[in-house]
Amino acid sequence: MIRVLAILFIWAGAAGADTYIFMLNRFGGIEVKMSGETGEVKFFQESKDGEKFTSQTRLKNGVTSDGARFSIEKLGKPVVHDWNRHINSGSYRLKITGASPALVTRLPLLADFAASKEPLTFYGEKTD
Amino acid sequence: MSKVLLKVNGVPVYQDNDGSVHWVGEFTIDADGCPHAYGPEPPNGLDYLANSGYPGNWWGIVTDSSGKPYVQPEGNKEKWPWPGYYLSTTAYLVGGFDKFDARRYVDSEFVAFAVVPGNVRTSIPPKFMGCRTVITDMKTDKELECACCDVGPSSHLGEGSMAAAAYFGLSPNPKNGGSSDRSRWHYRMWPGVRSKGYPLQ
Repeated sequence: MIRVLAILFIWAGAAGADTYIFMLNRFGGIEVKMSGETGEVKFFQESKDGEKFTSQTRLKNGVTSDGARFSIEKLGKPVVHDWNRHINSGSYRLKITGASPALVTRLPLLADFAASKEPLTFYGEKTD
Repeated sequence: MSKVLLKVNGVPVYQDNDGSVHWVGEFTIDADGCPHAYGPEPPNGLDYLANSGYPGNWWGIVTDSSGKPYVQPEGNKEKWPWPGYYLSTTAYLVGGFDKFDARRYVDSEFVAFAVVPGNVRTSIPPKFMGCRTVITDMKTDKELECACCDVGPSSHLGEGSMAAAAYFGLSPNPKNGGSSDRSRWHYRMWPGVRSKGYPLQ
């Protein structure tokens, strides 16, 4: 059982911006930046030729304008779904709740071999 | 003298006065260019098919005019060495061969090469594809002189071919091989300086 050390909601007051990356496939994922009450979520999808698809949404207290809540937990130990590229793997868990169908369709595709059974839940890392 | 060219997930990528660009990262296995890296199921390729893309965005395999993955046919062992598998691509393209010929791509299984993150590639004008590259295992000081032949994700530092991994004694398995030690592998590339036998692209 995963031991949760702390729950970090992205609207928690923080000095400076924190950035988290959740890779959903080899070239695509979710970047969450948080700074105090405000934040930003970016869905990105690259290829070898560059970035092809990006969707950016602002957050206020962890919630998008259409009501989706992004919450991040630090885990006691990393969850690994992919040993080579660390897709959907890491020490932080992102849960998206209240997402509209429009937001869900904008999510980068989750690589099947790294998928978990938890809906709209992804694993990744905090960048230094 | 080094300057920070950019940071990837907080890790600096430096550029030195001689133009070389270098960073420290993992050793992730890139199977691209190997003609049995990916396949319909069955046969299974060496790597997960999802690492070559998905319908509408195949970044690691050849597609036909309708966007469907191209399957190697029977009949020409040089052009299509693994019939039934998809044709895997690298960003570096070998001249003299058409799009549907396996020899157009650098075979990760047999050629040692390194991979540059996409944002590093576009950060400066000189060309990276085919440029001189040295990978160093900082634990053993063992070095590999090779070329840069593929492009990787902008969020990840440290990737090389299966042959490069084997050179360092790492497992070349693209599903679970390589090394996740982020402080062990040093990559130095000289964009604009060709590696022997590799025209710059």
